Amino acid sequence: MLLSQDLPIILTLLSAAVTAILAGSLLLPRGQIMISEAASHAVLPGLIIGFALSGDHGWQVLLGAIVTIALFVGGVSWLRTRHRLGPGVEIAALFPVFFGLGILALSLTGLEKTGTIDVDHILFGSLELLFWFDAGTWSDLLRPATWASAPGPMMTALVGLALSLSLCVIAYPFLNRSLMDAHHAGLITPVAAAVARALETLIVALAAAACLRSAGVVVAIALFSGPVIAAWSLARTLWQVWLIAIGVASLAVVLTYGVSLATAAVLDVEPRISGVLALWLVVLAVLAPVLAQLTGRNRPLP
Amino acid sequence: MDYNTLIVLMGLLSTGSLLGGFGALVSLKGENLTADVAGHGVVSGVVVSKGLLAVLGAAWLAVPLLWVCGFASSALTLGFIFWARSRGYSAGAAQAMAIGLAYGLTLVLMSLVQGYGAFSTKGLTTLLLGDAATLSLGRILPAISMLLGAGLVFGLFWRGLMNWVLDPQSTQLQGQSSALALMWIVATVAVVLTCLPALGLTLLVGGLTLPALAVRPWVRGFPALVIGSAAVGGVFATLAGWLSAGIVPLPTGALVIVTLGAVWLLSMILARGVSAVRMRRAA
Repeated sequence: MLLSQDLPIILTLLSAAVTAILAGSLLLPRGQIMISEAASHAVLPGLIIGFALSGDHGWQVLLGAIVTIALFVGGVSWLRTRHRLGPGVEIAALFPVFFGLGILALSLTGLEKTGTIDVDHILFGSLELLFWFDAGTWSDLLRPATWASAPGPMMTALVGLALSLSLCVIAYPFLNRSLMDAHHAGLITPVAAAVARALETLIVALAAAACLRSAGVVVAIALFSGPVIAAWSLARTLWQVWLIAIGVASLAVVLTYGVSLATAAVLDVEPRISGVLALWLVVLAVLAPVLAQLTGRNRPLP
Repeated sequence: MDYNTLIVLMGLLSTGSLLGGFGALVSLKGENLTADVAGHGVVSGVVVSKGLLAVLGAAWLAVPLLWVCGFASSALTLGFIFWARSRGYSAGAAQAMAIGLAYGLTLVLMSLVQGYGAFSTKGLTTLLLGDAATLSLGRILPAISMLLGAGLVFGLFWRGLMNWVLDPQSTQLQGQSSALALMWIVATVAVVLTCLPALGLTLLVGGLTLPALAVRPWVRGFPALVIGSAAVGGVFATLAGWLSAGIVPLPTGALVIVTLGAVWLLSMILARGVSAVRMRRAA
């Protein structure tokens, strides 16, 4: 393993995966997992505007992404409760409009031609381009200077993970009860419901932004849904869902690395890491319920 | 107006109308996101067709291969969704797994085909985002033929179609549900493949959903909704294409969807206003 090349990829992918798992575990039980797919597309205008205002990939881009996703998720919730358009119709109506606005913003700001924002990287990810030159040995990781030169997408994913995890741990008792007990939602006060909705929106936004800067838009849905679907059949509490899903995601990352190395050795071609990861996540999501049945844990499928 | 602009506008008119009309049925069935997933399923087929073309080296096979592989991969993706649902997964979980599978397969196949120098991601980006400006007569003919065919089928069988869309259990009782489900898969994939060149995959679902939502508050009855959606989709796609061609030089597909989004918003506000006025008068 080449530390300066493999460590940033693994750290970024695992951080993005865990952040996505936390968000996915809030969406899946409510039947809203496709919001994650839509949100990872809808984030585009926020990214473009954030970049156009700041000129770099710094915190303004992350803030733009969070604000846009908050608007999107808020819009979907409003349409769902006030207009009842049909299952998934509000998501299908809003995300293309957001994405279209992003494409128009890309064209209007002229960023399309400068190459500073590459649509290919947004869509398919740029994990293979992550290098951490100062991390040559394990002991280098103890030096603050090494962390100062860490790749931006990796740091975004790590900060996103830290924030999401803190929010989820603080709100754990509430989240666990409202997700595992369907009747609980009817008993909470409107203020508590609004706070829960804001928290959920923030966690989804952080996860979508982390996925976008690492694995790309197209694989975000597999990170959000695969591990949580797999974990759902085996877990009984939210803690168990998170732990099993993190285990599933880690297993998928290991399998992805194994397949990538094997393919490179046999076919002399390196498959896209994010693509192989998505396939493993789906395979594990399909296999987990079979394993659950074999071990006698017959939880209903998500 | 020059020849190229005319072709682009004709392409947008047929694509917008087809998506609008078919989208009304899709919205009534609540299958918009399933159609979106089916659209994404096409991409892996496209990549396979490029790889096969590079291996076979027969340029005349490009279009047939594209259709056959795109159709097969999209139908398999839809098949996966129905299989997952039959196993007990929720609609959302089945869609999420199917789209993850489609994306993963696409990226892996793409890197394999790229490894042999047969494909560039730039082509795939065009497929995802659309490229209306490069439409030619050959590329819009499938959409025009499909629109005419769909219009004929709708004119002849609209009553049966309405029963199936609004009351699926009646067709189940008649033992026709499997055949109709298969026809639904074929129709969805055909519409998606036909409309891809103009709008691209990511924006296509907007073309399927927004016209029906804009028309919904203003019409009564099934035929009016389908015809109205087709009209709104066609007219505003053409208008956006015309604006994009000369007045505001912006990406056509994105402008079409944002225009349809604005029409929906306006329609919603107007419908609320009209409803408020009617209630005040009634009081």
